[in-house]
Amino acid sequence: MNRSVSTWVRGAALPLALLVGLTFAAPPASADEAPPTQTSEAASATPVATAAAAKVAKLDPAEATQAPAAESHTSSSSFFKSPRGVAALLLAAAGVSYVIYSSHHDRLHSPIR
Amino acid sequence: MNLKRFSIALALLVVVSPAFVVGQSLTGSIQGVVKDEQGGAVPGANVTLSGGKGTRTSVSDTSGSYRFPAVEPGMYSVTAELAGFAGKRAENVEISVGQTYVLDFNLKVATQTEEITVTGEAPVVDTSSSSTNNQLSQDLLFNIPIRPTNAATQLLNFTPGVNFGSAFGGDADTANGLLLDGVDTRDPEGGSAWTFFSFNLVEEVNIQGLGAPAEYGAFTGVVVNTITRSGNNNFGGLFDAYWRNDSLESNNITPEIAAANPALADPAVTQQELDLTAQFSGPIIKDKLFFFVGAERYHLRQNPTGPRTIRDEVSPRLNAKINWNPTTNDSVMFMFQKDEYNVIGRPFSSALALLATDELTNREDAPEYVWAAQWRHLFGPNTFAEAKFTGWWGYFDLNPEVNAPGHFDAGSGLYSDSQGWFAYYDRQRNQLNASISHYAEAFGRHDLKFGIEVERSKTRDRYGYVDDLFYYDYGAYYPKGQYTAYDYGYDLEGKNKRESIYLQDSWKVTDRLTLNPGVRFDWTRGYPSGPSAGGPNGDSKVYDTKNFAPRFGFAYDLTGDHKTVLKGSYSQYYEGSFFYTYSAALPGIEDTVLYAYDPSGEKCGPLGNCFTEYARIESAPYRVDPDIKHPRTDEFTLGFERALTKDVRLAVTGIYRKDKNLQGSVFPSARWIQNSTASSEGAEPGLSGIPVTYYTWANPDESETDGQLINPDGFQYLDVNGNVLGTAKAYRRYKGALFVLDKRMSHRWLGRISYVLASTNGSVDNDGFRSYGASTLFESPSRALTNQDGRLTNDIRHEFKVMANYQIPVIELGVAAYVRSVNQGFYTPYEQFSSRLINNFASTGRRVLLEPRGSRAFDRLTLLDLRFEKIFKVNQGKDRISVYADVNNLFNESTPTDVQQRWPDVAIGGVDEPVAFGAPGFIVSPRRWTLGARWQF
Repeated sequence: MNRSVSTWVRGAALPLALLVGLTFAAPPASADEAPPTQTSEAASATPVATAAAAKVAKLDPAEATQAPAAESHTSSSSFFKSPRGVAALLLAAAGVSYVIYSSHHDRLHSPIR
Repeated sequence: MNLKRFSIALALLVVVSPAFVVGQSLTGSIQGVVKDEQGGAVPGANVTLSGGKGTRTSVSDTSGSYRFPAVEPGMYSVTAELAGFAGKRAENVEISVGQTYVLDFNLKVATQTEEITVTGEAPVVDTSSSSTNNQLSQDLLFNIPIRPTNAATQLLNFTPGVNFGSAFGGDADTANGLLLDGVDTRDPEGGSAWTFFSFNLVEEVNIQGLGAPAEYGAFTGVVVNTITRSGNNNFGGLFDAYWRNDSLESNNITPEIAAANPALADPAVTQQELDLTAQFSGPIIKDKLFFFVGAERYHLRQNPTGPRTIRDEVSPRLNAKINWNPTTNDSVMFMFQKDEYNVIGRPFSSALALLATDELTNREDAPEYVWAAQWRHLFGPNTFAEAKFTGWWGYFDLNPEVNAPGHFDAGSGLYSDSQGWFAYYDRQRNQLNASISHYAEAFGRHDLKFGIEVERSKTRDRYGYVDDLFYYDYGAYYPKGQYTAYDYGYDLEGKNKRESIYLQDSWKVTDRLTLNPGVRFDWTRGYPSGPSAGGPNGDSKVYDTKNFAPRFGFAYDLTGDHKTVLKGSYSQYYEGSFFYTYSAALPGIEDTVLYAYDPSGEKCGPLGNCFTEYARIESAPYRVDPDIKHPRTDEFTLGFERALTKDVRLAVTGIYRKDKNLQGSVFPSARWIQNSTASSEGAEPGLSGIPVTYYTWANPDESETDGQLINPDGFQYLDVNGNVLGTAKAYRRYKGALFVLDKRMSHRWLGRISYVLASTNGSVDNDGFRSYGASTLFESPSRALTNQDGRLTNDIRHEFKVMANYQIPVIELGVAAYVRSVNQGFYTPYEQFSSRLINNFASTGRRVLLEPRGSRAFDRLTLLDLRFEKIFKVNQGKDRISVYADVNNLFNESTPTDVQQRWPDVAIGGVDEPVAFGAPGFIVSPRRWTLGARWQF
């Protein structure tokens, strides 16, 4: 029991020291990392926010700028007419057909069923 | 309108402060605050969430807050706009299962509308969750040489702290929850995996275990929540083939191994392994209706190790999924899977696989259907409800390859002619889940979830001997089939019923402190069904437990910058509802009838050998202790995580787990006589002739029908005078420290290094099916009292795993590696004494440990797997075609994964000399190359 406890203590000493050091160490800066932001004051209305709030009453959500879709949608007809669409459809059909065939052909039917 | 786009790699003006809160099951959520440059709230901003299945919009409230609850996993962009401000868009916002992404926007007043795009990468540290992050991300899943042939059971072995199906010291394979799109796919009999599925079907895998919230229950190990692929607005396809044969496989059986165990001298040879996958998905109606169809055929043909010459396994699988958004506030999902598992050459006993010749095998016919239907309704940005109906139906039948009675020769210890038995297992499982999630602000912020689960499952197990006879020969003295025989069988049917209620909260008390309280209640019952329905006493219920399981966790952002968190939890987990906990209490088990050869007897076999009954071991249902408690695990965790860079995370977690309420069976009215004998002589002096304490059953006729299912911890074994001979202990304890260093994909590479230092000991082993049910472990004091305490089979002291992937530029070659080095746990020499010495028990009841449990260590297993993948991006990068080669066990290690544990030796069919104790039993698979090709778009 004593031996296992001392083993645990030794095993834990280095990681514990590492933890304490890492907690209070600033992470290394990297070129693509944002500097930490300043903690803001309490969220009381600012002149800018007040102006924005005033605009809300007049703003019709339908007038707001609509962002373009993140991905462009390919119409079904154009996809299935493309070589990629044809190939995908054929492979998918072949795959499903083969699996259906296999489920009948390779099935080991139990005599009691 | 002019849009001036800037792509910025870092968030200068947009404060991207994503954080996570665990609270959802198959979805995540996005929330945040829209502010101006001074940090003031910006109400009325239009926030648009765009993803593969369309867009959703929200408007920031008076505090500038917005929310998108119930967001399906995937990649999104989020745009915040308001007239007078420059719009902002965050790209590559990746939502994972069970996580809330906090995304704040700081809008800048602009004279003309600009749109600035930033990357919305999630932080690597979650400063709001008390759970330990054991995610298997898509990056890891699809860039590392992971290609489990059975994804259901093998994926979790890649995570730190889980090995050979045992999670953090828990019972292997049976203690882990296995969910497929929320469907519990475990066998309702004993909790092992039932549904197998294709690795290519996996979209994401979420593993909950350490500090899991209250919505996760019915497990004591970990929960593996696998989300399958689905369709979206873009047509997608995945077509994959991988193949290998014996020319790509090495031989790792050394002369020393072959000499120690001649049965291994004929190693397994893979004649062919071929896995074909075809998947296609896309829109039926844009933004409204989507489909996914998948087909897979897996075929493995082998010449197995040992005397068998064939093992042929064919699994055809079909998957279909429909996602439907009838309104902007509703989403519906239907999922269906049909699969089969057909096996020729399955050995008559997994433990005795090396003894099996082709005639001692069976054929497995195992079809099943899996379904799930889910409806989700958004009541607004703060509340949504989900209802889900899931289930599956299937069976597996084992029919002997040779339809004839089997033979066992007591003199040689060999089996012959046929496996001699058949077994049929029928299963059905249905579950209804309903939950409501609500976000509220009061004394902080709350993510509340309340849910109900109703589970109903059915099990039917049938077993019997061909022609109702199994021959027990003594070929040295009598012709085959002219000594004795016996008959045994059972037909057991049961119904499991479980209702669960849970309530959980992720309570953000302050910006830095989050508390995760929760509570779960499970009501678990077992009933006989079929011919046994009605029960022996008129009350059909035989098992009934009610269990409250509190959960509590905390997470504290130590430095206030979302980069460092101290977290901890206390959790109670109750096991699932399993037939095996009470099946021994059901009528349906036949008496064991013993026959002696008698030419004039009435019981005759197919060759004309006849017998007369001379003894009968009556079968009587066990009683279930009315105070029996359901198996449970108590867990404490304390962890620390630190984001070393924006892509690198260090996590350290201390874990303590104790398995309680372990169940077993005893004979309360049995009386015992303590004896001592000496072990047999053998090759190892330290085990030869050592004193062994064993116990003879003094009154079997009066007590063998008085079996009881109890929590055996504290049960006392009495001698004929009622004095205590010994007290049973039933416990299992795990202590571990988990160290993980993670880097997600950036600059063309990703990696994970983990090290786990752990200790698992107890008196009940953790190698599967040990935590409940009837067995000789506590029925026989020779097993319960002699050398019972110690280290367990899955006591993995030192576990080291490394995963890494690098995409070489210019040539676009991906190289991935997976290294693991684990000590494989411990084993104990045992001797199986004769029935004359330890009476009235089957063979397992006569096995006595010769040393304290876990006295011997398996060899350390160190393996390196690699993947080389050449990628061709065509069609302007929209299509990805690759060819790849995987090599498993690059250095062709020949480490034994099991040893012969019976002292002094055991006879094996086809081998002249018995195989000695300590000889290798199974060897790790040799070096194998697999070739594959894939087209994905």
